[in-house]
Amino acid sequence: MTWLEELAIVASVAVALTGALLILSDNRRLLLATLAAQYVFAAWLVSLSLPLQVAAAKLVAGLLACAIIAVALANVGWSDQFVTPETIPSSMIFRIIAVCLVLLVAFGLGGDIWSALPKISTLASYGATFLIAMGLLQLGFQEEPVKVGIGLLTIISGFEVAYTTIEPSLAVMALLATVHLGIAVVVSHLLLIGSGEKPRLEG
Amino acid sequence: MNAPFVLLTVTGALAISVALPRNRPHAQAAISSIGSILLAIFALWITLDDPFEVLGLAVKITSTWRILGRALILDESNRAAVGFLYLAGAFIFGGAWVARPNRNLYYVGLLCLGSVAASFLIQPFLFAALFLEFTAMGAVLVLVSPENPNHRGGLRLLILYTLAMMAILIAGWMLDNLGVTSATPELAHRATMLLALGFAVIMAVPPFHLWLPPAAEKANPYALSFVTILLQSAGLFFLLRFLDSYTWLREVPGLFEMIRWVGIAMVCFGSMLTIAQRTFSKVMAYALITDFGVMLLAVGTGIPEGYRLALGLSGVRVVNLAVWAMGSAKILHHRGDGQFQALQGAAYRSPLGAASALIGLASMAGFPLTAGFPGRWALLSKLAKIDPLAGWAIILAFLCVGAAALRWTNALLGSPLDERVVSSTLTETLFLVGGIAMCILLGAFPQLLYPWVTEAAAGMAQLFP
Repeated sequence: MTWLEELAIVASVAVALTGALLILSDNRRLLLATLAAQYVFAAWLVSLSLPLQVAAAKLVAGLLACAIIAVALANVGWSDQFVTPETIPSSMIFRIIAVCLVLLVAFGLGGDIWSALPKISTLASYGATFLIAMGLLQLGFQEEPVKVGIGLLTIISGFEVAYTTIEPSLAVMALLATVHLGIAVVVSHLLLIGSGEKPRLEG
Repeated sequence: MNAPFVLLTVTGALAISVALPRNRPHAQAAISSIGSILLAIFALWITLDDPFEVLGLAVKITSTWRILGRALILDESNRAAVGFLYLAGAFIFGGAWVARPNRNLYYVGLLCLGSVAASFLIQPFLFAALFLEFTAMGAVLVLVSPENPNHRGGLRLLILYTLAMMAILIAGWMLDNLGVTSATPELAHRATMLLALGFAVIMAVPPFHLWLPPAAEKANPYALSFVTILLQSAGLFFLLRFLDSYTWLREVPGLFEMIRWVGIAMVCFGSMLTIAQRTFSKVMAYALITDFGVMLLAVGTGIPEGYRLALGLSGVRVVNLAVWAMGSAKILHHRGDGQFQALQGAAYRSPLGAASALIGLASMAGFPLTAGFPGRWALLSKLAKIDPLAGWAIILAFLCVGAAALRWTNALLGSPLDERVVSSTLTETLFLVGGIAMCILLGAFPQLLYPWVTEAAAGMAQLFP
């Protein structure tokens, strides 16, 4: 058993914490740094079922996605405020309570929800559930491109942690990595359009 | 050299070449349209796996492209579908000459075409879900532009398709690896539920239609038409491939009845809301939901004739939406113009544009002598024996969407708010008249389109024995 497997509980807890921080924080720099850290821990969980080199490729794709969003944010400004829909309560207390409740539910479901998948380790299944739960909560809170994009990337990271145990083919992994990059490109496009900048794509 | 590689790389090269001529929408429309026609010809008629001569040179094009352990295959089972896809793309890109959407439609639109083509070619076909996700990403870039910076519809589309992709991939793995059959009812139930969720999103079954109304409200009508045609055609083909590949799925008790109930609910929901809309674009959004519902009713018959009608309706939608969108683009010149009051008298400002928009809508309703009529009439006669309630739903759809078309005809023919006249160039006039003529011609002679479109699914041997 390698140290990555022995200490996998660290990665499993860390993805829950980074997922929570992505919901609670409104600072765009901190959001991107947290997302990058989340990719590191998600790659760690993926490495429990795949060779380390393949997990590293996933990490690189994730970090590239962060870089794409960072470039767009650098163009539109890091300090813009997020606009929360009026129908959704957005106070910090409310968000903390929601995050705690959803993490509790995810913890309760974590062991069983992936039971049909034969090769997934218990810690990876908890990590996948935490990521998907936090991503879904993120989508429920915001309609702003950066936050929605981060929510989607979090969900897909969680899905990949589970899915790579059952579908280890390189082609599918490459396609899933491209999904991360594609979402980052779409988020950047929406950011630039929303800020009045003209994306290159538009000419 | 292999055919899938040629198809996809040429599509990519076309997309790049279209991105280069800036501010030349006519050149972009021409390159995209002609390129798509050539690719359709290639997909339909190229000799596969046998050598042939070109200018004295021996050439052999194989049908399979192996990449990272998976295969993209163009063969007799899918070449008609790929050909239909590129021809539909060519038709839409050609119509963009009149509608003048943002230039992403050409550039990203071609990439979306390539992505849907790849979803037809990939083996195992379950991974088509990933390519549909890429298409949804492209759809967001087409829908949200500097002229329409509202991102709500686009983001919802992306969220929903991402969730659908995951549901279908997991269901697909269960079907292939857990031995799901009608003899394992619990597993079959789980897999069916996941598939139902995935396809409910792809088919815009309420409440998963949430992206459509906000997108319709703000986006360019032509961009919206392109996106809905592409996503729905790919979704229908994907659904039929599932039904074709898994015999047990067709034997799940009550499956087709459930599909019919979903179709009836969509038809009722869409029909009622079509009448209530006060924005022209949203009328089409809900008319589309009604149309998707009718298509599901056709699939829900569970018989080959029903599947053929579903494919035919999907083909007719390309014409209906393109004609509506070309006309709408002429009469909706400024954002907010789509409001009921603002469109008063629009028929005097642009008679041909108004006629085109109304005929497209009437065809969507299934008015006699329009392209939408024969398919619905044939479906009605099939459903009368299988499920009379579903037949009544089609009549309700005709009455409600038809009433909406008449109401908007009244508005467009009302007293004009100003004396403004929107002139059309000769080419625009030709396109608009051609679109209207095609809509009426296909209403009178459906045999020009239906047999050819239904050929797209000829490779599905289980569904079409």
